[in-house]
Amino acid sequence: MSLEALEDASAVRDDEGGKEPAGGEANPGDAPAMNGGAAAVARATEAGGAPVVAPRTVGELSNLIARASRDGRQVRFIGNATSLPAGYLDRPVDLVVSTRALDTVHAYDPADLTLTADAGVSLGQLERVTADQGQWLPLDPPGRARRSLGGVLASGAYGPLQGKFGTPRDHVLGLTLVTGDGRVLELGGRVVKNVAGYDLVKLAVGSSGRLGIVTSATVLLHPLPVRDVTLLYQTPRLALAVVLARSLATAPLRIPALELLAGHGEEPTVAVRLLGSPEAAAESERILNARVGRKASRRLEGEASARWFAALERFEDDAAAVARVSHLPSRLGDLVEPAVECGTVAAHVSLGVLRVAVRGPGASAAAVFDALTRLRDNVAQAGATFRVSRANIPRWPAPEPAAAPGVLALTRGIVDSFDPAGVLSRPAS
Amino acid sequence: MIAKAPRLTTGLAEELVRIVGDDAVITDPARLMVYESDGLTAYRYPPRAVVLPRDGDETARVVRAITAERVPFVARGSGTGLSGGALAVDGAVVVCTARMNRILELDLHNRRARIQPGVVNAHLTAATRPHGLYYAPDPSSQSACSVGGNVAENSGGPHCLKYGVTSRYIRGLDVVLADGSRVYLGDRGLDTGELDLAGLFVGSEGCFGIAVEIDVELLPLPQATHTLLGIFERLEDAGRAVTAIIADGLLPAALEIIDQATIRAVEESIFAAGYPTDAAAALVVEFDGIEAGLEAEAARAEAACLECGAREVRRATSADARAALWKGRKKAFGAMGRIAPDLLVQDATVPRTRLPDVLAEIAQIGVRYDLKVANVFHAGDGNLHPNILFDRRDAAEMERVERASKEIMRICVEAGGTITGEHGVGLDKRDYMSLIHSDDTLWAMESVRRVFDPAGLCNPGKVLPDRIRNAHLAGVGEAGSESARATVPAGATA
Repeated sequence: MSLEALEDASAVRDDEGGKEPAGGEANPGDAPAMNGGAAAVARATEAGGAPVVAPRTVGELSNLIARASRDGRQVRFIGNATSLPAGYLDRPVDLVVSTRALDTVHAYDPADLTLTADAGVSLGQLERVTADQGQWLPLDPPGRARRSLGGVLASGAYGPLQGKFGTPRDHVLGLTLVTGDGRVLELGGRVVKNVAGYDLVKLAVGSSGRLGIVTSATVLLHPLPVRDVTLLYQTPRLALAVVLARSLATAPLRIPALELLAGHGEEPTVAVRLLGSPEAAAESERILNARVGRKASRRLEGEASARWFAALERFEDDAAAVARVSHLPSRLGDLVEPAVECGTVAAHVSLGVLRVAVRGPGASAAAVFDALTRLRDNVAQAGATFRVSRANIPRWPAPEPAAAPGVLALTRGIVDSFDPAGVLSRPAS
Repeated sequence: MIAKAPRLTTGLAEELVRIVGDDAVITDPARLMVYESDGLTAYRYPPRAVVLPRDGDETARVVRAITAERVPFVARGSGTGLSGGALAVDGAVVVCTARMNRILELDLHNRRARIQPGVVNAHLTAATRPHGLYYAPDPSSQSACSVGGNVAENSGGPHCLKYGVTSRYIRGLDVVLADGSRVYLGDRGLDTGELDLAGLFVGSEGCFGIAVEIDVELLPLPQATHTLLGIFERLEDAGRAVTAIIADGLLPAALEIIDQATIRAVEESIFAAGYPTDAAAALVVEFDGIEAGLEAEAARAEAACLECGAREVRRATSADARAALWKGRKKAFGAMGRIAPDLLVQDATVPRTRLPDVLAEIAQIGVRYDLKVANVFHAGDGNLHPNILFDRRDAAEMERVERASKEIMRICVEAGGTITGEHGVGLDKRDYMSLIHSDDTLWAMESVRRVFDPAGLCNPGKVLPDRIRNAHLAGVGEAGSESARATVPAGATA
C-alpha cells in the first residue's frame, strides 16, 4: 500500500503542522526550535518529507500502524512536539503519527480522584478541568502546560514535585497502548490498587515510543493543597548552598519539592515548596529554618509560590541542550561544581538528579558539543550517570553510556515483542 | 487438591548439596509438607525439593543447576501469600529465601537500604526506626512476610492510601534469571532513559526471576499520628463517610472498614478490642505527618463521620490508645480462625464510590450461597477483602465457595474494578484474568515473561491462563507473529 493510500485510509493530514492545542499557554518569548510546536513539527517532517498524520480514533491509529508494520514503513510518534528527546529526529522515517487529534477528556470522577483522557490533551487543559473541583495532577515536567499527557507518559518526564508525588509511573492507573504492530492493549485499569497481571503500565511509561504509542490514560488526582509556600534560601557561595540543600533534604519531614539552582544569574538558590494545611506548612517552615539556622531569603505564598515553580518549568525552554546527571543524593556536592562550569543547573536535591542547561540561542553547535563533552567527562569521574535529554544541535554523536549487557538483552527482547517489524523510531543512542 | 511431585535426580541433588550444604536442601517428604501450601490453604503441591541459599551467588548457582535439567523452580519467601503464588506446581523445586535475611547496607544519608529478599517487612522498619526512618509498605502480614515476597506481589497495606504500594519504594533489584544469570534492574537515579524494568519486575509474582538483593527507599517517620474509630449502624453509612472525607480534600494515611461479622468474630475471640458487637461497621481513619494541623484534620474527619450517621467517634493520639483502636482491624484475620476451619481471603478493587453498592451485592451473594462472608477492607483505596468462611472437608460447601468467589469477582469487574488489588493472581485467579484483559494483552504479558524466562521454568502455571501459555509454546520461534497469535482461541476459558 502506498503512503498516500495509508493516509487516505484513516487519518487527517496535519497541514497546519504544529498548531497550538486549544487552550495551550503561550510560550514566553520566542520559541526556539526544540520547543515550539510548529517549528518542531516542521523539523519532524523535514527529514525525508515524511507526512504527519493525526488519527481521530484509536481504531484509525491502530490500522495505520498495523499497515506500516506490515509494509516495513518507519514510524515516529509525536504529541505536541514540545519536548522531543535528543536524537529523536535524527533517523529518517516514512510517517509521523501525531496524537493531536486525540484530544478528549473521557471521564472525570472527582469523588474517585480519577480522570481518563486522550493522549493529545495537554497538562494545561487537564489543570483547568480539575481545578474547578479543587483537585490537581501534581506532575510538573519541564514545559508542563503545553505538553501532551501522552508525551509526558511516553517520556516519563517529571519535575520538582516528584519529591512527594513521584514520577509519571506513580500517577498512572491505566493506559491504552497501540503497539508497533497495531495491537490495542488496555493496560492497568481505573482503580488505585491493581495487581492483576504483569505491570506493563510501568513498562510503557517512559519507554519513549519504543513499544508503541499511548493513546489515552487514567490518572490519579490529588486534592489541591490549602496552603502553598515557597522558601528561597540564597547564599553567595555554591558550596554553602549545597550544604544547606543537603541539610534540608535530610530534615525529618517529606518536602514536596526541593531544588538547587546555580549559574542562573543570581546567587545560588535553594528552593523549598511546602504544600498542605496552613498549620503543617507553618510548622514545616519552622523546622526547616531551625535546621539550617536561618530564615529563608524570600518567602512566597499562594499564587506567588505557584508562579515561582511555574517559572522553573520553563528552565529548559531557551537551552541549546539539556543534560541530566544522576547520582546518590549525598553526592550532590561532587557534581554541582563541574555542572555549573558547563551551564545553568537545576537539581532535584532529594533525588540526586541535576539538570544542566547549556544556554544561548547563539551558542554554536561546536560550543554546545564542547560543553556537553566536558560535563560528561567531569561527572564520569565522580561515577555519575550522564544523559543528554535534549539538544538542538543536529546530532549528539558521543556514545551514551551503555546499559549492562543483561539489561540490553532484556530491553531488546521486550522491544521486539512489542514492535516485531522494528518500525518504531527511537531516540538515537 | 494434592499433587505428587517427582523426585530429584541424584546428580541434581548432589549438585544442590555441593552449593548450599546438606542442611539447606530438603528432600524428606515429611519435611516437604511444610512447603506444599502457602497462605492459600485450599491447594497443596508438595515440591520436588526445597533449597535454602544464603546469598545471591548461591541462588544463581542453585537456579542454574535446577534449570540445566529443565526442572522448574519457584521462589518462596515466608509463604504468607494469599493467591497460591508460591505453590510448587509442575513438580517445581522451591528456592526459599528464608536464610537470605540480612540487611546488607543502611544508607541513612540517602534514605535507602540494600537488603536480602528474606528480610521480614517489619524487621526492616524496626531496624531503621532508631534512625528516624521506616519502610512504608505495611501489608497486614508484615510481622511475617518478606520484602522479597512483597516485591513479587507488589504488596500494599492499610497505609498505601497515602503512601503508595511497594513499587513506589523499590529503587533497584539485583535479580537471578531462570538461566542463573544475574542482572541489576533499576538505577541509583531515575534518569537512565532505559525501560523501567524494576517497575516491571515488581509484581511479576516470581515469574521473571528471583530478586536476591533489593534497594529500597525509606521515609522519615511521621512526627505524629492521630487515629479515629467511627462506629456505624449501617455499613453503607461507613462507606459514605469515606467518600465524604475524601471529598473534603483530606488525604488520611489509612481508611479501613470492618463489618459486623468481623467485629463479632474479633470480639468473641481472645483479641477482643472493645468494638460494640451491635454495630454494623467500624471505620478506622488515621492521619499522620506534621503534628500541627493533624488535630484540625481529625476534627474534620470526625465531623464527616457524624454527618454520615456515625453513632460514636473515638479518638486517639497516644501509641497505646491508637493500638487499641486498630486492634479490631489488625486481628480480624486471626479472629476468624475460631469461627471456621478455613478462610478464603478474597481481594478485589472497585472505584471507591462504588463500595456501598458492591458491598450490598456481596452480602446478597453470601445469602444466596449460604456462606458466611465477613468484610475487612481498605476503603480508601476501594480495595475489598470479602472473607469467605468454610470447611474444606465439605465438598459441597467448597463448590459454593468457588461459585460465590467467581460471582464476587464478576460484580467487582462490572463495577469498573479489578480482580486483585494486592494479593496477586497466582494460581488462584488465572482463570479470572480474561474478565479484565483481552487476549492481546494476556499475550503481551506472556511475551514479556518469555523474554525473562524463555523456557518457562520460572514459577510455571501462575498468573496467566494455561491456554495463553500453550498458544505461546505452539508459536515458539515466531513469538509475536500473526500465526502464533492466531492460535489463541478467542474468548475461550482455560
